Amino acid sequence: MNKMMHVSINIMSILSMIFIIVGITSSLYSIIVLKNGTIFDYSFTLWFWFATVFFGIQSMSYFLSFRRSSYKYKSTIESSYNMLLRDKVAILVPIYNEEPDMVTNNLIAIYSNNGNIAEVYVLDDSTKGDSSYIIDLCNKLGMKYVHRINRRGYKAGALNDVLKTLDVDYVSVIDIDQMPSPDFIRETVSLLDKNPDVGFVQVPQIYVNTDSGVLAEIAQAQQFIFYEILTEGKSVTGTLFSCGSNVIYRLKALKSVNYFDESNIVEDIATSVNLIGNGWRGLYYNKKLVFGRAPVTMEGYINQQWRWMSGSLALMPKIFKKIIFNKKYTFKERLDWFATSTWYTFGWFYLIFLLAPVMDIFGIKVLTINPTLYFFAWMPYTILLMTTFILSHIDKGAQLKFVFYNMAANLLIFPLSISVTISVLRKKMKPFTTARTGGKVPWHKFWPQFLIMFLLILSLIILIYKHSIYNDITAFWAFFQFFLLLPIFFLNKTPKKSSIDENSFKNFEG
Amino acid sequence: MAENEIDADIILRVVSKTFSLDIHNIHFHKNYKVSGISGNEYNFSDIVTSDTDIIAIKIAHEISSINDLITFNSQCMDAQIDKKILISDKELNENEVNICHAFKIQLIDLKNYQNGYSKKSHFGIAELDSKLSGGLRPGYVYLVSGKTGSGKTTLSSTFLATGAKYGEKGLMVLTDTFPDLFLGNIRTMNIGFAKFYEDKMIEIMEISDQIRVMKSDISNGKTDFRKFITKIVNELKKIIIQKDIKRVVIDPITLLLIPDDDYINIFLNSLAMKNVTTIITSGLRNSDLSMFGIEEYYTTGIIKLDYEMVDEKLSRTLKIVKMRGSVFDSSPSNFKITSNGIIMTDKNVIINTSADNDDIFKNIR
Repeated sequence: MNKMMHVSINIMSILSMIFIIVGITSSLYSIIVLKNGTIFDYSFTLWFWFATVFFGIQSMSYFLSFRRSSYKYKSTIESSYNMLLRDKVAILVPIYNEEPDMVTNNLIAIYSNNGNIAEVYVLDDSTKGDSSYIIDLCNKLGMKYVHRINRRGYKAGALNDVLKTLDVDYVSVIDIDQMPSPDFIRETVSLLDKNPDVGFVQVPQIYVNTDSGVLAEIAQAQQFIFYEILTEGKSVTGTLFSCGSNVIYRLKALKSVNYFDESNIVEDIATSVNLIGNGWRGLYYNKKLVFGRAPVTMEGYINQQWRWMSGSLALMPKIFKKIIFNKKYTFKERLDWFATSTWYTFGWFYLIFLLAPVMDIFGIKVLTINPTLYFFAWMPYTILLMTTFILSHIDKGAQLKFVFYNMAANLLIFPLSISVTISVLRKKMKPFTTARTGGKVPWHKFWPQFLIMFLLILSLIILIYKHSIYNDITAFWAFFQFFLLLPIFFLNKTPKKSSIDENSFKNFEG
Repeated sequence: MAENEIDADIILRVVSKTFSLDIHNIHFHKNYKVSGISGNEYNFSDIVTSDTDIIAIKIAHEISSINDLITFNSQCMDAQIDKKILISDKELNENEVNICHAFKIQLIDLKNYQNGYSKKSHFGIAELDSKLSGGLRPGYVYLVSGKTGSGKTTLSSTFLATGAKYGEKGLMVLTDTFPDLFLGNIRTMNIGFAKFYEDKMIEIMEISDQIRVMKSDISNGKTDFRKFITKIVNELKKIIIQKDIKRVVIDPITLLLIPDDDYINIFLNSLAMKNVTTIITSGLRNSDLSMFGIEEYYTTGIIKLDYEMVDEKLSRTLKIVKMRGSVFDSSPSNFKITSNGIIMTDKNVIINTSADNDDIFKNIR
């Protein structure tokens, strides 16, 4: 990436943010002064405005994160290596009804890469199947096996029960589908040693099985924006939250907030909010030190997304109360947390964009948009925003298909976001499930996506037939959104075997 | 070396601590002959000498009755050895303890010296083991280096066969030879390797194309090297754990490496495994110890093999270049590769201490 390009993205990101503010305020002004629509027009226009505000704030937070990540992040991290670690670190590995082969492989990886410098605790909360093979492995490798007969507090409860008995400086949590590299603990501990105000160090999760299908690639694309741009920015602002795995905590910090928050299934974010409230900050260390697995089945992917969405949304009141309405925090911190806590409501706002072409056929229009305004304001703004978004990805080393997948992913799961929002409002939570469970999902379950695709194609045809500048523009967006939804046909497939599962060594039977 | 024999390292530590002697200035001897004032010659099984002192060592499991202790003491008196130690590796009865007190034999409990110390993995080549004060310390990675034909594969195969003989399962990872070709060669030598392989005491593995694909992905910038290290080290360790392997040889290591300091450091450090002794072999290219000139910095010990033509005869030498945390003899020795394996041709090897370690026991990582 040459310097000119970098400077251009810098300028474009500033322009994008200016356009966001101007766009939001001018369209609000237009709604107020316009007086020529029906009640449907007004409702639709207001909803559309809310969507504009929502994506405006999200984009603003994204561009601010990108700039912090590009210009400030590197100076906050000093890479080093700690050799002297005896009796300093404990590694906790929670397990809940997992597949035996994966448990065996990854426990060996966790032990063999870190077992000589840290005590490993296997927290087995499994309720199904035979755990004796885990007990045997723990005995053989000298890892501590802990089994509870109740599931109080789920993962957080299992972690807390052991944490209260520990006398170490640092505690790392590694999920059973993760393989830490040999230097994970040594490098992260050195950061905690050097920064006494840091409560936890988070490292990215790198998916190593992205060659098993489009779904795994999409999941990786979503990780990319999070771990390459957003978290680096959050680390600079002090708004980083831990992701529950690939993380190492200072035990003193956890003690200060009475350990993990057991009241929420995303105990990682809930605990981070408590830690931040107590004056601790999180540090993001962007180095490939832990390797994980992307969900490879649609059911697993939906389970993962459901848990993240419902947990984060259930946490929204807490974040609003403790941070967003708290004057102790700066504007940029509050903006960042606002974007984080509201993100998973995106389904409602995508829905209005998806429905806009259909509405158009029925004569319901966004009142604030007329062709002149569109060409001179709305279109340059959209083009600028999307170009900056794409270029910022490329600047961070993303492949172009990742940018496409990233845009597609959120659109594809918009019904999930809507359904989770309703469940959270009705306080109806599903039992805890992991991304590693499940298989294909029956095709009829994707009816919202298919219905929307059908409506988009239908409106596309009608709008082209009715030809006018305004209709042609709307037809273009109908086609664009239809195109982004196309991967739906490739996601719900049986995964291929990933090369990561190919053996590097062959036994010779002479 | 017998199964219950105590490592020279431990005996030297016991003597050094008991009589406040500098560990760098004492030497251990097996079957040491001393003449008594009566004119009799006694063969002591374990003796430690310094410039001024001789210390006689008796190991408790060698005693079957009090008479053995009385004989030991009278031999020491006749040989004018007044520093005597009984190292107890078993429970002693009251009479034995009383006799030791009466004869001023220092009673040392072996357990106090064994904490954090695993029994060494010996090669089964007496002179080499002696130079290494018993063998290689388990839990670390050692480099056997030398140009092609210098005997690296033979030495490391002997290491595995000796382990198998004493019930320690071995793993031979061949990276650049066909296993059947290797087995054919090793069968010509009477070291028992092929039989142990057939009895499943030694496993042979070769590398798959997957390794070449991943290495090329790293050089094309498609993948991070830590992913590669994590994958292959984990696969190896899984085999080691599941098959309960105690000795590992990777012959040669070069195909698994990338010439990058960080890579080799992380890779070799992560190969180390508690209670498992790992030998990697390497040819020579960029330095006189390895292919990339980096490997030697990240291994715990190095044994260098070499050969040259002297009077139209092949003269082979072996030299211990480095052995962290262990007393070793760094002088070169001659050896031959015969149908019975490696035969050292130098005699009277004694254990010297290496000069490059200030405090050898603090140097253990």
